[in-house]
Amino acid sequence: MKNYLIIFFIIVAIFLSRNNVFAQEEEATVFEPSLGLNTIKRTDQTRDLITKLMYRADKGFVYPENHKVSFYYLDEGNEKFLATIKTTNDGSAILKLAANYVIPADEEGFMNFLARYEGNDTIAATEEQIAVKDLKMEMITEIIDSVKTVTVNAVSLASATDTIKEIEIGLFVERMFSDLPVADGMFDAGTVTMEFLKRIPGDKKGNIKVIARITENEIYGTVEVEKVLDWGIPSHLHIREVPQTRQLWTPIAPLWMIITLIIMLVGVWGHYIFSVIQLVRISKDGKNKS
Amino acid sequence: MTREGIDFVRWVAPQIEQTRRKEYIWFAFLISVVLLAIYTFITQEVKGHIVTGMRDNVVWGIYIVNFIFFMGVSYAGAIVSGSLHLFEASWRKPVVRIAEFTTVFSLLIGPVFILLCIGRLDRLPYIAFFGRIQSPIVWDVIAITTDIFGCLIYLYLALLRDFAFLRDNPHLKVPKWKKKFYRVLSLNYKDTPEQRIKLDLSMNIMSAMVIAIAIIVYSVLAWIFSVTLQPGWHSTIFGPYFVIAAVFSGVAVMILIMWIYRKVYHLEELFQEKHFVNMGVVLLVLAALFGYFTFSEYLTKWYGSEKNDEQLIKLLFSRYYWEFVLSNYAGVLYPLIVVGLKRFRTINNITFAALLVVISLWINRYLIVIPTLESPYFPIQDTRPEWVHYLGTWVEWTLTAGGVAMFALLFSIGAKFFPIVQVTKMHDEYEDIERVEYEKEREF
Amino acid sequence: MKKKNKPDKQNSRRNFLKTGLTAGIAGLAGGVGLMALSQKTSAKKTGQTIKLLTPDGKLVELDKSVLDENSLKPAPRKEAKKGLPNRKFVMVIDLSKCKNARKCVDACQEGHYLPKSQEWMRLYLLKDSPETAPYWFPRPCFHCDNPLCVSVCPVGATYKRSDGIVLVDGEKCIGCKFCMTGCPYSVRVFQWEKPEVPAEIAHLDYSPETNLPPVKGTVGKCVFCADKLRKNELPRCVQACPMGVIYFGDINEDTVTNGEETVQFSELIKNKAGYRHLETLGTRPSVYYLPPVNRGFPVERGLEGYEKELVDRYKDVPLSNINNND
Repeated sequence: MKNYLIIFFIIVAIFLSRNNVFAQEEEATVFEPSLGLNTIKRTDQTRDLITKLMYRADKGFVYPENHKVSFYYLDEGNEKFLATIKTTNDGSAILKLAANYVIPADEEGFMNFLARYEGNDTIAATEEQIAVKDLKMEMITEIIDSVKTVTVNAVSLASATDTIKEIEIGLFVERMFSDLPVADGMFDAGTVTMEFLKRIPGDKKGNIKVIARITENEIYGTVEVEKVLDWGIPSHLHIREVPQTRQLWTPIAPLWMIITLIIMLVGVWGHYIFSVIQLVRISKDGKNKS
Repeated sequence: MTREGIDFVRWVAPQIEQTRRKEYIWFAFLISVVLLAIYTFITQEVKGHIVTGMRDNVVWGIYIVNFIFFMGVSYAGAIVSGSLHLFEASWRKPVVRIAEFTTVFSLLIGPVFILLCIGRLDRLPYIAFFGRIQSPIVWDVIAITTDIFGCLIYLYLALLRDFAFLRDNPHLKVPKWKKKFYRVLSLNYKDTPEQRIKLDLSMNIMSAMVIAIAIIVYSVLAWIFSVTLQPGWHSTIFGPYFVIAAVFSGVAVMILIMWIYRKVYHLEELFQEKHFVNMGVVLLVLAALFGYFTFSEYLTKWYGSEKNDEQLIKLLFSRYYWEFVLSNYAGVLYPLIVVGLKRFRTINNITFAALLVVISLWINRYLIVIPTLESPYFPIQDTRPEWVHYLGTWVEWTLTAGGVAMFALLFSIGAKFFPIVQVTKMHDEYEDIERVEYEKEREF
Repeated sequence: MKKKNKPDKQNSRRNFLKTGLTAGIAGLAGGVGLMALSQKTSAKKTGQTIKLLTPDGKLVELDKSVLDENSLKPAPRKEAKKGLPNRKFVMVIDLSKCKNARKCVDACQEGHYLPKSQEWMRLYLLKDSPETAPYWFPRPCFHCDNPLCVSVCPVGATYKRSDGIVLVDGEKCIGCKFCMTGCPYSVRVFQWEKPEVPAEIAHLDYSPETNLPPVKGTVGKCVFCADKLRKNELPRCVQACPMGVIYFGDINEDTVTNGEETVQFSELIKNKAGYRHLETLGTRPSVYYLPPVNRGFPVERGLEGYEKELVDRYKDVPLSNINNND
């Protein structure tokens, strides 16, 4: 009997201790984040390196703020440090390289970038790499036969022999939350022509920002060139406004309502005042009599 | 004043002088109900309106029904007393004071119910500071304030002669403070011709005003509902419909009060059958008008069978079937039969008809407010029963009882200070009648 | 082809976003996908400057004017009355794509700390007539151009801004609930009891743009996430929808977007026969609907996987016109 009891207690002890071990393992969960790395060549020839740090937790995705992401470029296999940027409230860390910042290319003409997140107790470390060739684009806007036309010329800065062909490019107009696509085209021999046919509202003078953008191309990354021109509809021709004149729902009432109310109130309270005056006079009469 | 005068007062308004034991019990009962209501009110303010049956769809419940009902009763009083004064009907005299009291006291109770419906009572002054005159609620606030002042002035004008009468009577056995009260309020009225002229002029003006105000104010209340787009409320005849229903309910309440005072103070000679019959005839006419308006409303909705109107009518005839039949059929037909057929035209029958009318009209208001909110444009797709259908909770019923008790309390207290009959005018009439009879005897 | 990141993850993620087969993944990257993020970083107001690296290794902060922190927080009461200049916001809801995923409801309740019983965005299962097919109908506040709720407010606690958004000032509302009867779309909800205020928002100054911290005894409703609009971010329901049902934009720009697709508003309404719900009531809503045409899934899909309490809400709606009386 005693033996059985001892075995029983040993089994229970093992069972309980195993539970503790499991619990500890659970407590030590480390989140595996992802750090997307993308590059955009802007119209002013600066280059943005964009990362977004995020990981999946029980409730959904978390975008940690104020974590350091380090950017490097690779020169013949060696990491050269660029800068360290802290993530913003949506987990993104962006580094902009000046237009005249020269990144050396490898033998194939690619610039290699690296973004690294060191990690901490709860989030694992991660890094991403991207390789892109440099591209220079210019946009020419003109009206040919009363059709608004955009011509984009692209030249590869990696090697003079590379011709830009069979690369998709889109034409957009900048809007409040995103960019509105208005046309697209395909590069052929380093140039593409797109027609701007849509009627898009602009500001007071009809200005809109037109953007020609190659989106996430495998070789060149994202490259864009933009221009502000007056190809939009001026605001006075299209703007919808919430009327600020007196309506039922405005803070100040329509005039006729105010006037009607005043007339009615004066009419009624005037009679009240008259009656009260009569009462006062009655009282005075009584006093004089006695 | 002669001894006959004091006997007259003691006969018609004995409660001014003496307080019987029954009255003490009555007052104690009323005050306890009111205290219970105050406790309930505090519960509601502390816990929030979740203790009522109101939810996001039916946001207005029993409080608004009570508000409409009491305001209706008050406007009826105003119209009845105003028109009786203007038309100088001879039978009117005992009834007029009761009408005036009903007007003022229910006008003081009604707005209390609307205040119970407001989520943030601490911000009530905002209506005065930030009021938007495009809002029907602001119209209503302005209108009710105007109405309260008007009715108070009117009541005061009506009471002035009685105050003087009571002040001058040396045999009146009341404590000194009450005597002083009458002296101050009587404003040195000595019934001189100049004073008489001024008083009559004011009374004429105010009685006309009071009628006009009552109609306007109650229409404004109706417009709070009819300017919204809710099916069942968005009706063009709501203004006149509410006014008719108001006068109808008010006349019924007045008949009830007349009957109570007649019974309790043995005033059979004062409130004679002819008074009940005449009020009954008014009740009959109003019942016919009310029935006509109600029929017109529902016929239009039913025949046109617009989708949301149809949904509302279906709701009325399924969930609220017996309430609908009671209020719109029984409440209309019973007074018509009882007063219309001479055989049934007794005091008790007419009073019972009045009681039925009061209940019917309260239910009618309930059926106007709540079923509409239970059948909105977007279907209520919810599983919580109290969010789908409205059911009044103990909080709301207790506060309703408190409101009724408060009304009765105000009325009873008022009767102890102000005679419930126009003593001076009645006395004039009796003096005239006596003089005529005396002269007749002398001729023999 | 030398892109040395994790291509499969990115491309497959983009595919998921496009077809919307998997719910929840669109919550990635804040809903404004990585593509759009990379495009819009210049315009989005994050409250932080972009750092520029010069050739001599100096890190320069660009565009310090962006650093006005106050313009990014939800506006206080007085500022909240002013709409964003020259804007007029409009929403388009594509009924052919909605399958009652309810992510919009969840995101709205989470973002505004609402209890589960209060829904500013509500999902109805509508069946207009016996022979027409039922469809899922997300209903936010319509921010009408002729708002009856605003007309009837006795103290002006609710108001319509110049950018079209109708807000409620919970510090002015007296709780008369007239606006709740004035709204024919049952949009508004009431704080019937003392609200549970989580610690993280209890200390905030009240803002009508978020209706936080909530006030007992007042009225609340969908605010078109006015606090997010200040930062050029889309409302929470728009970002959360896995099917891309809700489009949002400025009608003065003639553009609406659901986070993935950006389209011209006038084109969308013209091509897909957009309409407004209960137009004849005359309230002139700012929310347009695209009819449920060519739905890719049966309407019953919207009831799958939910607890009984939710499914019971729609028990009165017959899903099939065939009487199965066996």
